[in-house]
Amino acid sequence: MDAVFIINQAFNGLSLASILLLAALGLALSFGLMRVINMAHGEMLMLGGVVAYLVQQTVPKSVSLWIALPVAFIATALLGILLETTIIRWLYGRPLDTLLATWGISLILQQAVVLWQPFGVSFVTPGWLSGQFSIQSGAFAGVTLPYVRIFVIILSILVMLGLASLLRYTRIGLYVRAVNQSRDMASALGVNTRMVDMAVFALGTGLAGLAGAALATISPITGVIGSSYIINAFLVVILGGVGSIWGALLAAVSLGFFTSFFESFYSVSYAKVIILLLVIAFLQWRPKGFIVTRSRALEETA
Amino acid sequence: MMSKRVLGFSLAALLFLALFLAPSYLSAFKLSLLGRFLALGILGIGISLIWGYTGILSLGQGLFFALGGYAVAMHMVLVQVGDKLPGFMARSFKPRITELPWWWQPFESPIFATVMVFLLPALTAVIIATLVFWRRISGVYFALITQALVLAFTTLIVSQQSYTNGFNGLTNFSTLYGFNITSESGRVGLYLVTVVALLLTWLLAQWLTSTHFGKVLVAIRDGENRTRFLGYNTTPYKVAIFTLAGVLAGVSGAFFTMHAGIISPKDVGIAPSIEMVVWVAIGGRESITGAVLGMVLGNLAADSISSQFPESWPLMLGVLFVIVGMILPKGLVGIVERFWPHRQEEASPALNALKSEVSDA
Amino acid sequence: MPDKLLQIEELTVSFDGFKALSDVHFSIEPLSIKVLIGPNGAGKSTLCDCIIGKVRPATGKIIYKGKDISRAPEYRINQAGICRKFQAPGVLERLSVFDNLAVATRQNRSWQQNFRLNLSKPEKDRIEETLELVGLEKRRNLQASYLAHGEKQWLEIGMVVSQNPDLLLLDEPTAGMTAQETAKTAELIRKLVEKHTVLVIDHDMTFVELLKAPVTVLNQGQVLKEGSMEEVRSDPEVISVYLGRAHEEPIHA
Repeated sequence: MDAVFIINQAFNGLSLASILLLAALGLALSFGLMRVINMAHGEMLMLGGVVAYLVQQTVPKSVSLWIALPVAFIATALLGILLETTIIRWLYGRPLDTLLATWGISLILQQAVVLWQPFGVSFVTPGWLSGQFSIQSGAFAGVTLPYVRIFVIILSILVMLGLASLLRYTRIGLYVRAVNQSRDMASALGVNTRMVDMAVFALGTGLAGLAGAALATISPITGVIGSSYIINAFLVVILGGVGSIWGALLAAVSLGFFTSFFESFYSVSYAKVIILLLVIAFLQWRPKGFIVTRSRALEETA
Repeated sequence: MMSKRVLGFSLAALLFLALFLAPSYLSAFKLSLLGRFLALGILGIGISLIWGYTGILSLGQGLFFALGGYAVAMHMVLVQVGDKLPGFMARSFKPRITELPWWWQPFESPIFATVMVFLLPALTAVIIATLVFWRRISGVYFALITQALVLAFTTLIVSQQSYTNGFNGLTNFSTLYGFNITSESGRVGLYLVTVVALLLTWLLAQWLTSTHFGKVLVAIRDGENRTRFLGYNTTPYKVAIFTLAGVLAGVSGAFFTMHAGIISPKDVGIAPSIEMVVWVAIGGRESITGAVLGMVLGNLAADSISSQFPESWPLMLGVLFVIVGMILPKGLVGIVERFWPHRQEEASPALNALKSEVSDA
Repeated sequence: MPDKLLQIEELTVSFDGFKALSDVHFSIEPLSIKVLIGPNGAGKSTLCDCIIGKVRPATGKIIYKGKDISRAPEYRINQAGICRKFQAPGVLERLSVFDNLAVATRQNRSWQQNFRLNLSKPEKDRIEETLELVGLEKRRNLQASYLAHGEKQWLEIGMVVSQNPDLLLLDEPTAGMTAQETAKTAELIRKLVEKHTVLVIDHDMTFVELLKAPVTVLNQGQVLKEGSMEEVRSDPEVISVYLGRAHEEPIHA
């Protein structure tokens, strides 16, 4: 095992972690706050990619990515509002029924896109993002870092920082933290918890859409692409600890690195099995994930 | 109360009678199809026990189903090829297999295979349930973990093409314990055995839910913490019922494989695992009979609709999921109960009157 | 020092840095009543949570019958004879009244030995006794979710009593009850103390007075005062604590 191999694998792991994190952040938010399992979260990701593709069909290629990212965010956030008000809201306190209903939504969205574009759509990566940073000679010859992956890593860091400061410094962030601590108390203090729920859910789906647009720069978007991310995204949330975005970060990075290294030693499928067994083993040790929020309100609902 | 129970039993008795007589009025093809879905009914009873009664949602029943199905399929494949290697192994190249792998060898014995149909799911379920329930991981977390397990398992089967025939699954077999189950009489025999298995499972579930054990299961569903504070260590109860459901899924998988003549990852993956749950939900998760009806009728309907409208079927299925989740948490049985005159809620005005009399006195 | 049934030493509980209880000392003698009062957020419920194993203390000991139970699992604590009636009625909604009591009364809690249909004769008698005690004989086959609020309270008291516990924790047993019912409940509790040790949490002063038992006042997670009701009520510190919140918890003269 030489240095180049390690650097490449570490970069791979980081890249995987950044995608996992983007996919899981929205989920961590809505699951943490509302205990809502949104099985259609993967399809929000997929739709974000589709929106990015549609944007590229209408605007000049050179700026398409910069327009696609916010448009994908807004479009999926609006869809999130629609979902929350028509379906999710009526299922609070019934997590298992929510799981079934949102799975149904995911089936509908998947099939709709599959019928429309059976082979999926491709976002053409802008010129400045194609290509890679590679070292040809010297001790590190063989290190290759594709620009798109660097872009996604930077994007995920920015999103993480943005979300953290949103929760830390803004009024809506304060409300979210308040509701997270104690729903009843926040409500009694005049926080409109319904609105907070809706905003958080929309923010979550919006982030998924953003993640999808970013993903579109790396791989083609098919109708069923969401299903390959959803389970890993949930693993990140479980591993990180409910309601903690820093836990999600920690979990995404560890999952990313573990997967990257296992896949280079074993086959992809063995890696999946090993990772899952590790997650279960980890939960034996810390059943509530990396970062545990202890409060009486959470004790009651847990 | 009593009359409702009697009525339920007589209804079930009639249904089973109709099932036993089915060979006389159904074509061979339809009989085999019905048999396949009755086999799924066994799994449905397991889902009703763990989900409807105990409140544990497993999205991973496909795993146990696969273990049972593959166990019996491995044996039957070996019977079919005799001394030679199964075709897919002989054709395999990465890795190239020249002799039967050690873990395939014992499956030459039908008795070993039969034992494995029970034992493999049971052991897997005990291990998973003990690890997970011991640390009090429950509810949504449990559902997601079981789903991830199914994903890992199917990925493993698909990737090990040389050993499992990957995505194509195991097929081309016909003989079990010397009987040719694809012959006309063999099919009828297999069908009747399936109905007997379903009947036995149904009776087992009826008995189990009426014992004190069954009451504790319902107590766990209504309030697991509460049940713990009443002095029950709920973990072994949950492990026991989850294991039983796992075994039932394994048996169901074995029968399904024999009827369908094939078992492959697409029968056991994430989507079929969650569909099984939905059919039970549609029938009525809190009723054993409802679970069987939902599973059998739902699959029969799905089979004919999906072949007629293959493109829009997933859309319809999706809408169905939403409807069940949102307005039918008790399934069709819930609708029937709503119109049942002796239901407690409807009697409540009278009870309220009685209550005020009592408190005034 | 007489033998204590329950002795709590240096108990501290914190939730994310917030100290719900700090350095609490507390004890109960066998077959006595003790009352825990204090304003909202004083830590009364948290203390109960600790005793039954719902919340794990950061430091300190909970010694029950000579053994530290602060780390034991809930069901063991219950099996050792501590039972709690929760503030919100915690009956098992989908079981009938009878089955609720059956689950509570059943002596054998291990799963392998519960595949029998019938309860033993003494268990059945005990359930009948309890049904009569809490006045729910006519509701025996009704699903518990259809009971009225007050009836659920009674059923839960029944469930707790039918387990024949040594130590009974009653968390606001009179919440939502009329004055008449409250008086009846006080009578019932004084009867219970013949066989059980009872710890009552409440802030209804009229009710507490009816119990004629020693009182411990908690405030901000600490023991503020212990003594008889008269002593406590005339204590200037206690008065200031309650007066500071007079609009919430008026002390009844």
